[in-house]
Amino acid sequence: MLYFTVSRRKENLKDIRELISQETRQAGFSENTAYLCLSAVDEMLANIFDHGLTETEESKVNIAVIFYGEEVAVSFRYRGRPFQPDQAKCEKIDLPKVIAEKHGLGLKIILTTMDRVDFHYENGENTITLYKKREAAADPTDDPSILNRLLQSPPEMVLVTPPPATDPAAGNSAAAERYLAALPLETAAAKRLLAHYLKVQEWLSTERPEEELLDAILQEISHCFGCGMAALLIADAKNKNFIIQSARCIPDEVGTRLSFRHTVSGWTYLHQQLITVPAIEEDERYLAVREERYYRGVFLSTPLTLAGQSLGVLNLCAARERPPFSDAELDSLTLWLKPLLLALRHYQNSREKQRSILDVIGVLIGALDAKDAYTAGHSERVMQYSMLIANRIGLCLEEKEAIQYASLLHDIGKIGIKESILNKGGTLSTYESLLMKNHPVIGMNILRSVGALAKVGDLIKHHHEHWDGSGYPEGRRGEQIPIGSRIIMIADSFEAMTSDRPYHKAMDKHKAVLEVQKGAGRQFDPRLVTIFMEVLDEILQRDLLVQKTELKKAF
Amino acid sequence: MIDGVKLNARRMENITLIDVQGFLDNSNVEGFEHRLFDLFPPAPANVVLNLDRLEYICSAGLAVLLAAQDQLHKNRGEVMLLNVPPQIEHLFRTLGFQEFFRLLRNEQEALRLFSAPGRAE
Repeated sequence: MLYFTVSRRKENLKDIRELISQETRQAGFSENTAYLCLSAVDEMLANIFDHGLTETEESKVNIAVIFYGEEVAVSFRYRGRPFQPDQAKCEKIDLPKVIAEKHGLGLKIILTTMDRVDFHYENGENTITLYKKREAAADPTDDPSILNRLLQSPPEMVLVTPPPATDPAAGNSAAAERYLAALPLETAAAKRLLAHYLKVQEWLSTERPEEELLDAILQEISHCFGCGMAALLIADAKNKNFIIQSARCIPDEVGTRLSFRHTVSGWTYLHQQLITVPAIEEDERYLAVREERYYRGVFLSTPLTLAGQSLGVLNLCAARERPPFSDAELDSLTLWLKPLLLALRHYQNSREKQRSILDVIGVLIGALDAKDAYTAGHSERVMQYSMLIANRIGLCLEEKEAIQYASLLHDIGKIGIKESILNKGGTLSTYESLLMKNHPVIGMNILRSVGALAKVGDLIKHHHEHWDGSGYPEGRRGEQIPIGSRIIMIADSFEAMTSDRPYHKAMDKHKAVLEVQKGAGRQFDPRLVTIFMEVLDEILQRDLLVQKTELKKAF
Repeated sequence: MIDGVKLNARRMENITLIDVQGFLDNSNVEGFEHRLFDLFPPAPANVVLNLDRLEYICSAGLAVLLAAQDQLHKNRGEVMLLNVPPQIEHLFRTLGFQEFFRLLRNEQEALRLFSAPGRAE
């Protein structure tokens, strides 16, 4: 798919014709059919210029060229007067009128040469789509380039915004709380347990980081069992040790590793057996323990197992301010652990997912770097700068994550651009620069197929939009541009100015900073430029440090 | 000088041959119309437009050709089209335009037609 915006200048008609001609022929259309397509497109665009667009400063037309197998669809989207031609009237040429007014033939051409034309008008926005099938099968020896394959991905004309996320859990939990409040007093234990489930459910539905969620659940369990000390250990079976994921009362231990050997937790894990003792320091088994010597008094250690998979160990401890665990408490323990196990699984899955996403990103960047040597390292620097800005402003975790991935992958669409264009030293021809300007949309298309990165695609699509509307591909302005894209725009421009490219030598850092400041309100979001200035010292320091490092989370 | 299109007229026996080179679209068709009519010889006249090197012609350009045909017809002349590029001819046929113009393959054909009995002046 090609997607671009043209402003109302008749000189643009020629470029669009050239583009349609190249693209249709490349897709296997015959010269004749390719000519009919470029002719219909030219007439449509000229008609929109002359009659559709109203005299506003936003006299622009968005054009999408999409190939669906054997068919090409060219869509025009613009704000202005609707086009509702009376098809019957266009059937016969009114010769005297055509001769006198040089007008009226265009629609005839469009309707006669195209297979189908859709006109759609809604809320001041017009979408006109021309469809044409190619007549003969394409030559199978044609080398289908990456670009071609990308062009055949499903269309996305109108960005469908999903309905605002409704939180079913929130509605339910209010009802459940009412239900709980109405329960008789003797079910107090059940009540506490249910309250815990509801809380966890609520946490899960919010966007809190998983680490915090685990902390909160541990806190809640230790509180309900009257234990001042608690630790959640995640097992690393390969290395035969634990990592202390979360802890109460022993905060310094969080993040450290504990061997399976010579530890109480290790014993619990390896035997998959619950231990509970009224005074751990008096237990003879404890004498053999070399680490974990901070536990005192009433102690409980339980393996955490979900669907036959051992995830780790939970330890609870109370320095004798509570009686030993009762049978009833031990019975209810499994129920208490359920939410923790689910959250733990959730955490591990998302860690794994994140790791594999970062792996995928690493591979994609490697592929781009191999093709375009000049951008090697560029992606990572742009990511570093973007995150310094993003971490300064109040963004939620999900947004920061999307910005990190998008800043790493912002140029990935260049995979679909010919090397001869990417590494060209001189200025690009109009057609070449149209192709080049398509890289944000190609990038979006690449990422759309990766479910976890779909949102990232949107940020990539708009990373060349300018604050004043003069960018591409849609010519969006101001806050219509996603904030992530606005951040990447600044980071990308600064990075590009301060490094060597085929078409320019690196600029002096301070001169580049001045350029960024000059662009405030024009190319860049002025408020983000202020933030950029605030983090400038860090950016300049970072710049010296950034070298090939393993990709990791930066928020 | 008109952007994108070049016209060049030459005289061949009793016809005027005009080479049209470049493209004709909404940006330059008005200029083309004036220039073309300026090149027309005094009536009655036969004009052959050589479209050999015409890359593109828009609907308004076609309308100019129709207007030219109309004007010359009124004065017992005719516009003929020579060497129409195949893809433009394909468009002509799709539109049913062949009924308005005679399409010629080469200059000799044009000369023969105009010197044929009944057509000669």
